[in-house]
Amino acid sequence: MSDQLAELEAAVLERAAKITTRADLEMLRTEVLGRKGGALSRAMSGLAKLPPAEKAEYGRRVNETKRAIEAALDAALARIEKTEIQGDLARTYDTTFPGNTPRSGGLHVLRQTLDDVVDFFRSRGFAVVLGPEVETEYYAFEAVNIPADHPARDNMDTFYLPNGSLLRPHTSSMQVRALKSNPPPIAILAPGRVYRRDALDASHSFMFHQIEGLHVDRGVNFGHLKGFAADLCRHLFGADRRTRFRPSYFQFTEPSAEVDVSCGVCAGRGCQTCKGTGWLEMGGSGMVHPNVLRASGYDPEGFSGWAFGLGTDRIAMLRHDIHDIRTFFENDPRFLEQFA
Amino acid sequence: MHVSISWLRDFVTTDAPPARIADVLTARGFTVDGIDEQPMPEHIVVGKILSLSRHPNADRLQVSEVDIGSEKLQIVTGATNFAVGDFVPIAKIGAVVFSREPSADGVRKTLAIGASTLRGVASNGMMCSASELALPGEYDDGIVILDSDAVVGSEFWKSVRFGDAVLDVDVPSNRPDCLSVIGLAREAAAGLGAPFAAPKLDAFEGSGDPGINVEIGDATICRRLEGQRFSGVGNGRTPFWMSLRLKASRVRSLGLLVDISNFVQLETGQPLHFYDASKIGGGRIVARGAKSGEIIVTLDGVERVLAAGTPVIADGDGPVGIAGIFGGQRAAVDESTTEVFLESPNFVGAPIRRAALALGLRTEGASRHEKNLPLELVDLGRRRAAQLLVAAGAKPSAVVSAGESAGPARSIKVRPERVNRLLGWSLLAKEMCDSIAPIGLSTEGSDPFVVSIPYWRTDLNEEVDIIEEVARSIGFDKIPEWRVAASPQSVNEGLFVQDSVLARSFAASGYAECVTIALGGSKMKSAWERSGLPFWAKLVEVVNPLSDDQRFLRPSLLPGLLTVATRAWERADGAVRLFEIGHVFRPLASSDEPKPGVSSGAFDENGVLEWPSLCGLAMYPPLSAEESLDRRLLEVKGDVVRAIETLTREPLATAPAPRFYFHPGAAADLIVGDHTVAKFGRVHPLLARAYDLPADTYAFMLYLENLPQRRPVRTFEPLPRFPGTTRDIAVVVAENVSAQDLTDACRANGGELCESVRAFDEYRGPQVEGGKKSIALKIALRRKDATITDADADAAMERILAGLRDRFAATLRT
Repeated sequence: MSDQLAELEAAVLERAAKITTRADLEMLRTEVLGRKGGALSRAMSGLAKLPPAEKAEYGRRVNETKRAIEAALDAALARIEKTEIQGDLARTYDTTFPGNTPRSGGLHVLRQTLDDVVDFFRSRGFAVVLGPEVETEYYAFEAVNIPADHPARDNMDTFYLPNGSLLRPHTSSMQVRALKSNPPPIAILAPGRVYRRDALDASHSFMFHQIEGLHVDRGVNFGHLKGFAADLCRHLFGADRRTRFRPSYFQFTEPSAEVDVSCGVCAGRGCQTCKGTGWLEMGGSGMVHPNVLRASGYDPEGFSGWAFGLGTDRIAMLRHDIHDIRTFFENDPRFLEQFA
Repeated sequence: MHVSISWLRDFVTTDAPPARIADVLTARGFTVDGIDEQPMPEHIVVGKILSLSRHPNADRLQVSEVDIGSEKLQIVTGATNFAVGDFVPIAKIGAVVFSREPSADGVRKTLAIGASTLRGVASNGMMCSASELALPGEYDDGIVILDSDAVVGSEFWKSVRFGDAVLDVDVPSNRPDCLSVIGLAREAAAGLGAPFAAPKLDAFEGSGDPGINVEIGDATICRRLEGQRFSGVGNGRTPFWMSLRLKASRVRSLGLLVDISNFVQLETGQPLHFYDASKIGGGRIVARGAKSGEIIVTLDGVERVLAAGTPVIADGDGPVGIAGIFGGQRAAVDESTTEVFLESPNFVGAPIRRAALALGLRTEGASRHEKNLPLELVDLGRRRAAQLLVAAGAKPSAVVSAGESAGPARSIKVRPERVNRLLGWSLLAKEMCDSIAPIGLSTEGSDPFVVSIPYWRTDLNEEVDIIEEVARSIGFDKIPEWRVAASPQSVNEGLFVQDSVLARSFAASGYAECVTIALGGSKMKSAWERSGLPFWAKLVEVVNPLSDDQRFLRPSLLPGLLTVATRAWERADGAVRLFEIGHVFRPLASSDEPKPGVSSGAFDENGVLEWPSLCGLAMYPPLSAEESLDRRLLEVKGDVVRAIETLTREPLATAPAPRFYFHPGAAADLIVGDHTVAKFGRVHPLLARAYDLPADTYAFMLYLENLPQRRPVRTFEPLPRFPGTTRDIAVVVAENVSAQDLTDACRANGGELCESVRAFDEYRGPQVEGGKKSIALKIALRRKDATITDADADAAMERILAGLRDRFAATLRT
């Protein structure tokens, strides 16, 4: 009986040493160590027939054989794994095939632009507020110091609704809304769609986007506006950009200023993009007019503030070299994908 | 406003180049949008035609003798529009003028003048046309005929008082004083530090009775009128120098009288009007409101029925002009006019503005009068016109006037501390006062100082206006930059945060964000109606659209997005996914659909229901294999659920709900608690076809107002400590039993052990009874306190199956 065990062990060890695949190894393991019908369990079944004195010795021998066989099979497995890894490591793969992007979505470039502006304002302590696009004449005009019959209304040719409401021609309508609904100090930006009766062409759309920034507190001054606008332009267009403040006229600010940023195409020397001036218009700004503060219940002797109106579409056009505002609203998939 | 530098130099003494003057004006708030450089060829002088004779060898040429002072030149010319005695510009030998040939590339060709022989006759110079000198405006081809007081031999550019450049200046609407050459010259002088000389004009008043009186019939329309009659002057030839300046200012030259009124308006800012005095009836003109039904034929030949109250100037026979807006034909000057009556008016802005808007006549005069011009301009404009008329040989009458006289100068008190506080500066009071003196703002005192407001500055009304003048005068660029962070805001940013969170979720799920125009018209409507489905009936209409694309506000994002989808699908080679976030609009209390839920996001105080909406579309190429489930619908639903779960983890129920734009059997609402938070479905096949989209087009809309605005703060649920087990079963049920019915029942009956239930397949076909279907469920079971045993699991499954049997007569599919 013991000889049979020795033979079995020798045969298995010899076979194991030659095995090269996991499947063959598994077959051998089942053949020898399988619970039912395995060679070793058959050998164990002979145990019952042995005289009691031999039983212990035989049992010990079976276990020894089993351990030896298991060790041989494990060694074979380790050898096969090593070969597999070596074989795998010997391969090279073409990493230059394009990556798989089964789904490609993204945010519209106008939202990306807005987000960038919002990041800047928030870093300076400002909060974002949204408001209605259908607006009353009061918030759109009267509250911001543009009374009825005032010629300044011409600059914003406005859509009206049958009930006398209008489509806001500027986000400045949010100034008094924000001032009235929050206690001072106020530091907000109000982005949104605005509407004007313009024919659609490369630089005009009857719907476009503005961002109104407003900071009202004790002691806010024109120098703060200058510092803020200069930093914003650098944030949006690069550290080398300069800003210029040009006196202008808006009913709701005094003093009023157009903010220009130096042209990035020609570095301010003058080119086609900036129409030879070296400067690009960024938006209108100024110190909140005392009448606007009064309309909001603020005492202009105690409080002062600045307002800054930016064109989201315009910023995006300048930053991304887009020359036709209609591009934003056509949503050509090839356009959307470029900015996804 | 276009203004030539030479005109400005009548009032400001400066040699500054045009670019410098432009910079100065821009820095003071009068942005120069363009500088048209005037080429000024040298060696052009004034010549007088002494004689003309026919060329001996050419029918089309003439030989002339021209006196240019220093010598007499023989010049051969093909032009015929001049006569002996005329003064013309002569390009001497050595001059380089412009070729008449049109330029191909924008660069004009030049022509060097040399001694030549034309058909055997020597020619020593050239008579110039306007195009050869690149003069502004439109001219015929003829030789320029100069005024008869021109000095022979003088340099041409000096003689015509023109050159350098024409500036295109953007004048802000609060500065009507700078819609004039004098006003801009004053600003330029202040900026350059150059002397400014205001015009000093005689009264030019004769003694004769004009025979026409002026009256104010309605003081709410007209504040002042001056009138004066001139004899012996017709609508003849305009001095060349004047026509040049008008053309440089983009005004056509139309005869002496019209040109003088335009010239004075440009120079002083005061609009004027000339009547043929012989056509004024009743010996007077009155400024009054039109009577109902009064008719006037305006200068453009259009007969207009005037609304009652429209400001008019009328004589004894009715309106002769729409006040300050447009002249009438009846008393207009023409070629036969010899007696003219000049009207210099001051109208009240608002009625002029309203009338001009109502009549659609936004004339130059109206846009000035509507700004409430100062009374002082009335006499200034009249005097300047009189001066020019007298120079043209007219004899003035006495001046008649009516209405208000100018009041005393206003003054504004300014606190230097306030100036510095608002500007963030540290100027001395003296620096402030000195800075504004050059623009005519004289001051008294120092703290506070009192500013006397000159009559032309109607825009200066309070302290802050003077603060702006100080800032502007010293220069915005000199104001120091300050930096300060705002103190933290308690403002609710929820709406914006919600947009951002949802947009990012859909972008991550492969949806491309779109921004479409929120106005629509028949194009939007008819594209939709091609499907045969009705468009939203109740729309928020725009009263004054400029084009058909602006007739109404979008009632939903879906039509706009479908249009984008059409183009996107055309070039797609796989699935296309789009979404948009934007406001939609419906008339209040007349919506086609139930009013969306209460919310901070919806606005209705302006008589319109306006709320932010999110709409998405997904289009897929056709599937090869037919399946019982609409897997794509579930994929889209999954995208929506994922987005919703960024804002709420409350249980989400699905309720089939038809919408007119969805396939009736593939549409549902997603519900949290009592609120519908989204709707989704397969787009109605007729609609998909109308937009050239595939049958597998899906859409969804989120009710943003029913969703939280921020991500909830989640509470951590301890991870399971003991292993669980899963059991898959398939049950056969009637058609009307839904997956949600089954999973809800499983959860209810499985008790604590039932960790999750998920329906994952559906089968209809030969292997189940007709009219029934099989739904496959994956049930996860777990104990919280110990490893679950087979016996525990079997008992739970038994309860679950018993429940399904009782409730739905479900049988286990084997």
